[in-house]
Amino acid sequence: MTEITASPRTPPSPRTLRPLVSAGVVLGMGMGGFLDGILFHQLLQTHNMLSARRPKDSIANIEINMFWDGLFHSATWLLTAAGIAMLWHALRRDDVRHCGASFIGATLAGWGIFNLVEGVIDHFLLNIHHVVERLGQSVWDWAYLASGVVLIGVGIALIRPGPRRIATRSDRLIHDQE
Amino acid sequence: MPRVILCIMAMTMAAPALACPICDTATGQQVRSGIVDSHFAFNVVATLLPFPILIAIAAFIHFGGGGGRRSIP
Repeated sequence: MTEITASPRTPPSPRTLRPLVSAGVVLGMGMGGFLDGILFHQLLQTHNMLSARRPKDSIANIEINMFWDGLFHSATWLLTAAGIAMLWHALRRDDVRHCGASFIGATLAGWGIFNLVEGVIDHFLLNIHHVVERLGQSVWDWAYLASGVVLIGVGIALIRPGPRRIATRSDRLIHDQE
Repeated sequence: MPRVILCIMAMTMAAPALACPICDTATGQQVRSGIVDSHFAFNVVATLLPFPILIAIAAFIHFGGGGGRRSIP
């Protein structure tokens, strides 16, 4: 009686990039949020979460803005944690292509999506803050949106897999066995 | 010398603690009332509004849109 076993050379089909890309996008969104908070809210201090509604002209207002910055950072932390979990699951799947360039591209695209969505909502629709608060709505807010578009474009270009960049977990196992 | 050290510690450590949202001081009270004011609900929504949209975009990429599932030549 012949025992039927799965051949290690049998590749799972069809192969997909999507879980890796979605994990990268979510991670990019979270890290983009952190970059915004760290660079503009903390290091450069050009704005805070509600600095258009609560100008940073007193200790109390600075502290109040810091509270809302904290709520914003809590949400970006959750996004980043979700991205790590998604990446973990993607890397454990046999049918997911492992492509570094696509992952980096997805992360850049996620960062760009964050800049675009956050910029449109907070800087233009709600007007709760602007990139350089003392200028109000300015060219910097448009530059922020433009950075989002550029990052999405670069990200999409990198996500497209080239033949040399493609490998699944199964491919690497086969390669290791050889 | 100890007085100088105590003075420096008081100048550098006490001031920030006076203004925190849970501090039992006049400024702390001001901060609390500035956070939990009539605009609190709006501020929560405004701060968090981008995130449901970002999650929806990520869900679209993960479950639906694009051509992520292709066969490799």
